[in-house]
Amino acid sequence: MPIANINSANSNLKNLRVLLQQSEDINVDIHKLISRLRNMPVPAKTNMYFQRSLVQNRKILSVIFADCADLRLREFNLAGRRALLIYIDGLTDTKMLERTILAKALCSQEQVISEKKIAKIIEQILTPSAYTIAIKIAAAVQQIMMGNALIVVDGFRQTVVVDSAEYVKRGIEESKSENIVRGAHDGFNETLRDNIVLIRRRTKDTNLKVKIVDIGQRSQTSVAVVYVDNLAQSDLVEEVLRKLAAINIDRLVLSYNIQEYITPRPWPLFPTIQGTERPDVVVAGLYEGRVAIIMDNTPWALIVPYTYNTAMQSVDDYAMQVPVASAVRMIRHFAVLVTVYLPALYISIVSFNPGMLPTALAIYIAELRARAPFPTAVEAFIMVVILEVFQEAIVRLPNRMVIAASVVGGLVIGTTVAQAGLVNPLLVVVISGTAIASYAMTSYNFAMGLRLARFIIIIIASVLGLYGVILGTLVLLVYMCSLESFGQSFMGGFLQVDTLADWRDSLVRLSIKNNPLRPKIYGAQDETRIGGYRDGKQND
Amino acid sequence: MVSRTTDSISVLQLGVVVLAATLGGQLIITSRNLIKSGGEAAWISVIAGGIVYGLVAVMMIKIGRHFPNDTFVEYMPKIWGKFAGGLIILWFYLLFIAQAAVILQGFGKFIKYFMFDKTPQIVIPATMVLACAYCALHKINIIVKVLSILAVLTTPVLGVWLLALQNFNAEMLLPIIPFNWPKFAQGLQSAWNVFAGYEIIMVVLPLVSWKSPGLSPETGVVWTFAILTVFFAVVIAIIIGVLGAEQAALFTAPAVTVIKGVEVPGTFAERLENLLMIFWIPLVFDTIVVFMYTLAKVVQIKFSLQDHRPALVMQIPIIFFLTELNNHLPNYEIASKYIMYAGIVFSLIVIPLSLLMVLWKQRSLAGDGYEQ
Repeated sequence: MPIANINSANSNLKNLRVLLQQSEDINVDIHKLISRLRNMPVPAKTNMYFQRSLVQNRKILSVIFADCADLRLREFNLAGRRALLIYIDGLTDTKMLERTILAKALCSQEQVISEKKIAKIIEQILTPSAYTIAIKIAAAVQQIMMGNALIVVDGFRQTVVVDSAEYVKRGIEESKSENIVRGAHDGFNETLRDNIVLIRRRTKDTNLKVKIVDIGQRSQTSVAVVYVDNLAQSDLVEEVLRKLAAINIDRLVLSYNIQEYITPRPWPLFPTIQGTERPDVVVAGLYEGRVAIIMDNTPWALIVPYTYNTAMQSVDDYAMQVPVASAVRMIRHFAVLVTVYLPALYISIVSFNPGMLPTALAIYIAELRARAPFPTAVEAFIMVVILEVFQEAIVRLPNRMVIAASVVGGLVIGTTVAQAGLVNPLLVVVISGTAIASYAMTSYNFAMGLRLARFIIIIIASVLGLYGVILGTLVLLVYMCSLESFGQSFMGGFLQVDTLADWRDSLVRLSIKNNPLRPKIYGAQDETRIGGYRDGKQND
Repeated sequence: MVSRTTDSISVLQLGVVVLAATLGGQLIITSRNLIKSGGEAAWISVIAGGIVYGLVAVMMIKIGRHFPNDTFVEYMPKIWGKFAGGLIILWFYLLFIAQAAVILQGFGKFIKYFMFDKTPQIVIPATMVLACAYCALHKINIIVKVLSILAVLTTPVLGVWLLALQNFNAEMLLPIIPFNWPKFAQGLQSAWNVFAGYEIIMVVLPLVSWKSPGLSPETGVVWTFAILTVFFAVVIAIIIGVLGAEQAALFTAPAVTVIKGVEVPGTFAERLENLLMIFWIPLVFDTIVVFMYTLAKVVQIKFSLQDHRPALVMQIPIIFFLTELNNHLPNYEIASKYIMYAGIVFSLIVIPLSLLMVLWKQRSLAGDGYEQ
């Protein structure tokens, strides 16, 4: 081959490489541009509408749903026109679509080309259970993402959204986090619609209202605000809706995401919003004048406001004899004190004020302490930290491992540490008692708050003894009173002189017949429960 | 319906605030001086004191009714003129800040003696002032919630004094007849110390939502004073009945000494005085919180501040300094005595005269600037 040709070929190859490189760069730039355009928000008050041409509409939808392998587009003839059925595979009831849309369309011989209203075509030919008309692209796309099918017909700007959402979901099962002995056993699942149905099934009250808002710029997660119209204060409902509307986040995964947004304090030690998986708890809350927030894709409903009194109540309390329930309630209050104060009291009495103990007990403790190598505070810290590590490990372990870990942990903490002389046996009893007391709480999040409070009180007790414990308690009490839950103090009506009626379901529980009023602290519009008493006299 | 947002309190809560302001440090700290002055009839002086200062409290509410939205900081200059009114406000402020310092000093002394003998005394009032300031920084409805919980939880424990009845000897209270009028008068003077703090009514009253039907503030305050009077009189009578008036005057804290003598064999709580001291801490906390809030409110209103919190933060070192000053005074009891005189004059002269002035001005000026 002549050299000139070789040179020319090399030169062309070089140019080709340059061109290829440039085209790759252009390709990258185009993709960047597309990506940027996709991420650009549609200017406010700008609505994009479907075109009359099916081809144009298909192109628009193809761009929007580019790289969505689970999108299904099926063309078919409808009344002599080309139509397009669009849905997401797995989110939609395809059998229903086959039965009510495609089969009917294929069998139909009617020609309604002259008709201007697409609704007429749907009503005459197709038989979907429910449908809506959409002309805005954004609204239609959102419906597709919710699992509904969209029918676009050539020549029409109106499209039809067929209510056909059906997806894989968990059934109605018992709540794993709020087990009860007696009472309903159904719990919420991850489907908003099912959860609302579970609430509706428990009351036929038309005043029970449900407002649904979509939160999350990207996820557009449906969140329902449920309340009883003539019980909940209107400003409370408005405040809930306002706070939900103010949530600025791209996605919602957990209901706790909402909780963090609507809680006024960024670092609350105790939960100021009630979380529950039980529909009966939600209904009970609604009839106290409170408001429930239920998010799609989570079984955890939120109820506001939330107070300490509510945190101490369990469904079981209302399903057992009044004296027993009252005793259990008082034990729960006592357990709060034990959870927070027992190690701190041990430290302060043993280290600072042994004189408070009866002489025999003081001598006994002194004997036990004589072999321990650490100061009391260090000893207690070691044990409390070991306990917390152990509890955290148990929570994370698979169920099969829990029993084994419990035996090992119990032996290590309970026996070996004491036998090795690292801590004295009385402290093991103290720490075990503290752990057991913390399990008596009805709310896991509240119990976690108490566990953290325990550390703070222990630190103060290590420095200031019994005086510090009392001082720490006072500061903790002020903190708890100042925690706000939608305008209410977290301590709510607990031992308040101006809400004496609320004491009937506080430290103890009186019979439902003797407790005719709703909790005053939640400010229900109607304070009297129906069938109760008004001004001391029974209503007829 | 319970208010969700407004910063107001009910009449019952006003009673709790008055209870908190008076029930705190006073009894344990001042019982010795009271018995020293009043002798065997000190408990009668307390009853008389309860009636007298209860009436003064009602007078304060009566004045407040003429100025429904004003605290005394606003209405005293209207009654007495700018200069004299300003002096009364200053008087009130100094009286309360000095009283707070006296209580804190006594509190530190007793806690150190009974619970914390190896710790410098300064630590106790310092930490207490900080804890109280944290509470007083909040709005009144939050403070009242704290006070209400503490009142319900701690006040019944004061019934521990009733256990001292096992050592009670009624003859120690004698002789009542012939009645010792000079001693009674001295006891009545000292009784101000027992009830000191009720003057906060004049600052808190505008925050009371008394327009709602139910208990009137006057009735609420009368009930509060009745409870306080019975309680204080019973405790003082028990102290005298157990120790005798002469002996009681020799002890630093006869109210605690009485409990020390109680023996409850076979129970876990053998040393009841420690239990009493533990439950005394929240009561002192209550009193200092109310005092600090009141003082901060006075400054806030006087200087038209948006919030009481800056004033409150600024007064923390002042109270602490005065507490320490008390510790270093050769005879702080003399200082306490002058504070007592200032308090008595304020209660028994300034307040009745103010009410008379209001009534006189109301008639003569045909209600110009005054509301019926």
